Amino acid sequence: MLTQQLLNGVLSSGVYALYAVGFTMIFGIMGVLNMAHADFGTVAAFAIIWAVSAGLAPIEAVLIACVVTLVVALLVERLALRPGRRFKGDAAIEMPLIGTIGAGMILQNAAALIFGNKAIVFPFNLRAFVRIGGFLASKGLIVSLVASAVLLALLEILVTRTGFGRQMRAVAQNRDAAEIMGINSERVILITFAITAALAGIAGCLVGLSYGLVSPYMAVSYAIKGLVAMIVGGVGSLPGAVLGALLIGGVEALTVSQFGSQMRDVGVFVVLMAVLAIRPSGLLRVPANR
Amino acid sequence: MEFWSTILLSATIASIAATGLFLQIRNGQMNVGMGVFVGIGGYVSGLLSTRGGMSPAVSIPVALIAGFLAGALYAALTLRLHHWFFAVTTLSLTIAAVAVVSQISFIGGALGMTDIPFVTSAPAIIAAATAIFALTWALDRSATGLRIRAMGDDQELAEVFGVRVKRLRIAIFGLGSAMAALSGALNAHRFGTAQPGDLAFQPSLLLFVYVIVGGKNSVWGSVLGTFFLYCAPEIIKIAPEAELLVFGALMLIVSVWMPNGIAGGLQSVLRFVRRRG
Repeated sequence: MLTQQLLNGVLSSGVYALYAVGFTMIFGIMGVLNMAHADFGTVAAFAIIWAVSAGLAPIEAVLIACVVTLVVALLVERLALRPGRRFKGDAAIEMPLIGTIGAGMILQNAAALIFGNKAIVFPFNLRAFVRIGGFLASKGLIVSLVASAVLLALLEILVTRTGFGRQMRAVAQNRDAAEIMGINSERVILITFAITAALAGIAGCLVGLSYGLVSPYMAVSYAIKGLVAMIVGGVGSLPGAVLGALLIGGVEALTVSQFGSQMRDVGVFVVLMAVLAIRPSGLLRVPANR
Repeated sequence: MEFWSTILLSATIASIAATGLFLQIRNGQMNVGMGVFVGIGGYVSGLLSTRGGMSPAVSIPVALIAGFLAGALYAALTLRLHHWFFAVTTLSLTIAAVAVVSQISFIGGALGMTDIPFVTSAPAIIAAATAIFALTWALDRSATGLRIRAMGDDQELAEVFGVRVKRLRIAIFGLGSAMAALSGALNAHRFGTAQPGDLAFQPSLLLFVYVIVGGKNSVWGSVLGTFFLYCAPEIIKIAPEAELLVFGALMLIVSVWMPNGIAGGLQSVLRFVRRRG
């Protein structure tokens, strides 16, 4: 029973890891949190729902979702995040916080206005269960875990092994110095932002795929889990975000099995406070030169 | 007339919590979970006046103290956290708090308490709001107000200049939470109910929007923002989703073009007119 619960936790943590990695990359490179990040997932999922209901083929729906998500993400970057980059100090932190909370409210409520304020059936789903060595696992969750693992591995390779990854790390470490070295930091930031938006979009679609339902306001709970996973693992560290997501998934599954599904977010909160009290820099402390 | 007096009184009660949130944001504690402290006020006063048999005249002040203690405890736990991290913990707090409160059957579970005595009168609301506003205004203009502002701008620098950062963080966050609890208690005794939904993210976010859109740089701003955003949707009557969409757009506009919100905008208009005249 306990193993089954832990398995569920690990399976659901794939999506959390995708969201957490997006938060941590934006934070690493821009020094701000994008509170509208998880809403990109909702945007992608609803774009697919719209395209399929308009009678398009699945592959066209996916393409449309990519385009819509990227356009929305770049608009959010342009409107809510770029203006804050002119400032130094606390204004540079506060402004994007407020702006992206606003952008998130716009995206959520626009989705609620267009599609109705309720959960909607996602056109594709893999809710069937398979039996692995005596344990039950949902197909959709397995797919989402595998997809997340592959994407995260690719991302780790991109960041640590490629020239663009080196540019990203340079901008994250010191933007002015990177500029002096001839790196176009605006371009690096834009591409990174687009990558994280794509990750969030995929995560949103995986949620639809594994649970069969998406709702306009689902982003709030995923944002919390992604953010908490990021903080628990250590801000700015990709492996940390994954570790944090696994921990959050496990704790959530254990809380649900011990105290009922109403209490799932309480466990997450307790872990967050405990980590912040005992080890505020996160489980994987990031070396200063990363 | 009846309708408008109800709306305005609700806005007045909300402005008490918004004033508390203004103090916290000024302090550098970005609280997006103020609903929790509003809810604590409603529940504590409701419980004491129904199950505890206390008179509301006693239970409301007790609720205020409970709000202060809860806020101070929370601030003490999160002393090291700034802006982002503080915001994330409060976000997580509201979600967790709703779950916990709706599990406790002693206080009504998911349905909440519905038998709280009706005692809140219009003069009481106005008196409480005036007192809270005057207190915050005086505090903001005092030497402590300067320390709060310095701390909100740069905590390390403030500490270097001798501001007792830890004490102030705990005290001011507690004070703001006490104001939120007062507004929650007044609301509970006005409608006779206290529900888990009072602690949720949605009302907390609304309070945050009121303060930010009104202007986080002056006491007037939070009150102005609350009244404006409370009443405007009632005049033009739009769907709640459209209302929140507009609020989101306002947040975006404020963050980019008007960092000091409506109050800041009005101030610069006034300055412009004076220079011309």
